[in-house]
Amino acid sequence: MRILPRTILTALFFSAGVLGACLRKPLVAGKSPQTGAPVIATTPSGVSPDSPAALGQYTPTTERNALGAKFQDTSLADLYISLAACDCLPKLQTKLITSLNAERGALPQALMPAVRREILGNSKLKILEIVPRPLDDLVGGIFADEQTVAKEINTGLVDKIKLAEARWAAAESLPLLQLDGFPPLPGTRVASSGRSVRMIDVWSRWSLILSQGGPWSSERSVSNDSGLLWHELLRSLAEGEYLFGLGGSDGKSWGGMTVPVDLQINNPGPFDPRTSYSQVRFLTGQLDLTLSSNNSLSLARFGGDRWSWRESNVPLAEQAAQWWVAARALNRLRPLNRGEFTTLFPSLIPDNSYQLSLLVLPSLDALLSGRFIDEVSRLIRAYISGAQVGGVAPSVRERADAQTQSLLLMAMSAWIKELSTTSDLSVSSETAAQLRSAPRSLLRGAQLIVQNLLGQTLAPRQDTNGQSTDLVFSVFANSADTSQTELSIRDHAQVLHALVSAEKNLMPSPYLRARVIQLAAGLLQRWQEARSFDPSKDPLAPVLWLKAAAELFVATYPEATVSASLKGISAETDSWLRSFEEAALR
Amino acid sequence: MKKHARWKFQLRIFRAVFALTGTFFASKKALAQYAGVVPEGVLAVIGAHRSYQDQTNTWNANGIRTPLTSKARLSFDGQHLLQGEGGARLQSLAEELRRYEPQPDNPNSLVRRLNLGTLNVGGSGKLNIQYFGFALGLPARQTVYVAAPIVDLQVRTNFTLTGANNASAIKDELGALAYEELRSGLAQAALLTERDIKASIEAAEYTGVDSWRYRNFADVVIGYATDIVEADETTSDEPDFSLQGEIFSTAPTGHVDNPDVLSDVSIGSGTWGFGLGLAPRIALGPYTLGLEANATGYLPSRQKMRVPIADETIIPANRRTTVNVKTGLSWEITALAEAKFDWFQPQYRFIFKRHERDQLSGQLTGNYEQLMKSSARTQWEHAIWIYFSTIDAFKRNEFPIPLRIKVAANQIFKGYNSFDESFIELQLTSFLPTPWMPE
Repeated sequence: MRILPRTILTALFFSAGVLGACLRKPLVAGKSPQTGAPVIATTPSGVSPDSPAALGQYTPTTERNALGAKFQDTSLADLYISLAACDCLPKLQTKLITSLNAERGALPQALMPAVRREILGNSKLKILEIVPRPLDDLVGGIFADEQTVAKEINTGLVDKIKLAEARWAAAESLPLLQLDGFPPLPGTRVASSGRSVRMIDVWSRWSLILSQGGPWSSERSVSNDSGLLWHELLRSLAEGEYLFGLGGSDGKSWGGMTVPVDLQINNPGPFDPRTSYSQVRFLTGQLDLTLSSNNSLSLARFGGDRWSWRESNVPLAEQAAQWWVAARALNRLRPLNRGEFTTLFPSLIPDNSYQLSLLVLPSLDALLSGRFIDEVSRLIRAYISGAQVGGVAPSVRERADAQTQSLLLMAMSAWIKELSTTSDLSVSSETAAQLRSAPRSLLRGAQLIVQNLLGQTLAPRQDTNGQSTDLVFSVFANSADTSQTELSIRDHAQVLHALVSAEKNLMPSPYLRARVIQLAAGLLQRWQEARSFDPSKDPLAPVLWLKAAAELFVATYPEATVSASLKGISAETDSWLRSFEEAALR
Repeated sequence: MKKHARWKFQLRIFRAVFALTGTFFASKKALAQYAGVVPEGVLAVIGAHRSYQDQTNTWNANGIRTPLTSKARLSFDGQHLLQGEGGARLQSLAEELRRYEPQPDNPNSLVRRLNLGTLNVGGSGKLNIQYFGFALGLPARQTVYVAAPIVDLQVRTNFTLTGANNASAIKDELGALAYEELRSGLAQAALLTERDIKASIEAAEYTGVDSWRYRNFADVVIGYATDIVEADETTSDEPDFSLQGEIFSTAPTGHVDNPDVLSDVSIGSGTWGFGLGLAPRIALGPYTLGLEANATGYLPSRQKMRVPIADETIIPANRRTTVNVKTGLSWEITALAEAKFDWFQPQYRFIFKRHERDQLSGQLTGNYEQLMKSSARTQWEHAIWIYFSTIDAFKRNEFPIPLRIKVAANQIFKGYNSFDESFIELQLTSFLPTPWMPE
């Protein structure tokens, strides 16, 4: 049984430089009126690229700023994915997203393909081609200083964003916008160790930007932050271009942080399905950047960005988050869903920017088939290892937990939903045919996950108050041994959310519906046993999942007896969350 | 895999029933009784026809007589399908259903609720035996004999599937949650028919699914009998003790179970057998009480068989192998009471038969225990024999030829792993002089 069609995007035509085009126009327009010199960015403030600390451990969760300190959640990445899944607290999300502009990213903006193309395309810099490399600093300084570079980029970005947010762009006081890549997670500071990127942070940051709290939010109002939302979206798209190494010219790749799926060679590089390739590559783990030069001009001309991947197991949870975020990106960017921005998109964002999302499909196929999923034993693995030879090493055969499986189910559901219609996607007929057939394979994967969740993690639960005689279900680490570990109420809610969504959108089933109702009754029972939320002590993610699960269940099964009580959960958690949001925004 | 490949059903009871028939033939060693110890120089020529009642019943391991149809009734519910009783394909279907359940043993679980109906494995057998033998009297009350049973056995099987089938309802309940293959499997299971079952058996390279007939020799017996203590027929007022003994051998001329024929049974033991018999008697006037005991041991042999992996009945052809067989000892004891009149000789017999467990082994890993399971058998029988004899009249020159006609009715009244061994028999024995007959 193949879960997904292999190399679904082998023949996908991905327009060259499609994402780079998103900034080309304003940067051209943003040349210095005095000198016509290109704008060149500097490195993140306070971080020396040559510092030995640049290769140190990147631990954003331990370096929170004031905003991040408001959350008691151990993992902010997990919190943001929960927040995006809940699609609630738009004001808080906006605050989190816009806070990103206060920190600088790990990748100098001179290396972001969009900026780099502008620098190299500038005719006045052609003279540099005859300048020996050691003189870059000297000659580059003649044409531009770092402040001018920053100003030009800021101007270009504002010009672009004002297409969507004219009122914001017209404001007198605007924050300085830069296009450096991979800023730290919202709520954290740039680690002193500097240039390191953790993929799960990228996905969770993107999930915020692409959620209802993002530029698309119907609830958001035009404010001082409005333009920053678009800025973060443009930055994310540019990051995506760099991650896959799509932004090169003259046949050379710029960037590329993917590693081969067999993990045998630590050589981060590009992955472009347009070209023939011997192995699917994907994004995972944590990568450290070393730069060959401090000089922005030299970086733009010669690159010199070298990434090394920290060898480690690949967790399914991380990949599931990536796939889920990619599906959400397709949803937000595809022509079908542009709504009021239909006419705006071509000038603000390249029309085919949605194709970036499709780049994850080859790895989704390659990683799930045989690596994360053992079809024979129906095992869904929590990790895969680079040490595997012809399979998976015994040490990494652990079954993925319920939370991870739920996230994977959400990703599958999202992709099936997105690929149910492909008429608006501008791809070759062959690719379109492959995309149309993909939901069938994805559905098999989703069916397997649901089967695993039902059979391995769900089990009847005893009512500790002894009041209910109805059979209710809960989520356990192992349903065969329910005496041991009942998972957290957060996991319970997330599993319920994923199953309700699957039953509603993918696999209508009286059997699954009955089990979901029993699971909802179990959630209600647990909530009644211990209903409390203290934002000064408790993590936020469980409340988000409670709210999300309760609301989705009530909306899906309004006639279910338990729905009336679940409305109570929804109302109470909503009240808690709004209180928390107000406190956090103060 | 073919559509119905590897669906199997349980015929082992049915097969075991008829397999006993062969064992019976092989162990029937008291052939000297055909003619007793024949006078010196006399050739006894024996011909007989034995007709069994239609084989529609069997005795199970608990000693209960059960109709073949009910005994071979198989419930195709989820629990049995999980155990492989419905074949590999239905087993995997049940296993797939079980994966949705945290507690598959719960009566409300999908797999426990699945029911495809009940398969009734019907069968009947018609069995007739003719045997022919010769016994030659030697000096000093010794006799050698040879006997050749010819068996005519027809086995017919039939299958009926009855009861409600809820596979379609289970499929609807699962809805789109089920894999395409599972939905397809449930849809096919909902339409399960007897024809599917037969097709699945034939797909396992079995022939003789519907019927099988054998008409040929069983194991031929040659033997030697003698009066160890000769009866004193001159006195009638005192108890007269006599003891007859015999040694015999059975030749492997009978059919041995062919692993590629579904409904055939072993008619012979497949190996040489060697036995001893003793028949003490005590007579008082025309009345006699006696015992007949014999035991047969067999040489080890090698036979082709299909070895199951677990307890499957329809075993794939690739499980065919040569098995080392140590056939268990067969023995029987008969107590009899007899009255002897001039030409009329009624006899009542009470019979105990026992076949000890066979031992099988082979290089192919498998469940040999399953093959040996029903090989230990016990039968309790009784019979009435009536002889009509012209021997005394011939001796008095009142009848031209010495003849003896036996009419017998045999009935089993208790059995364990046994077939229903009830029959009637008509035997004719004639005695011919030879040139070596003393004056």
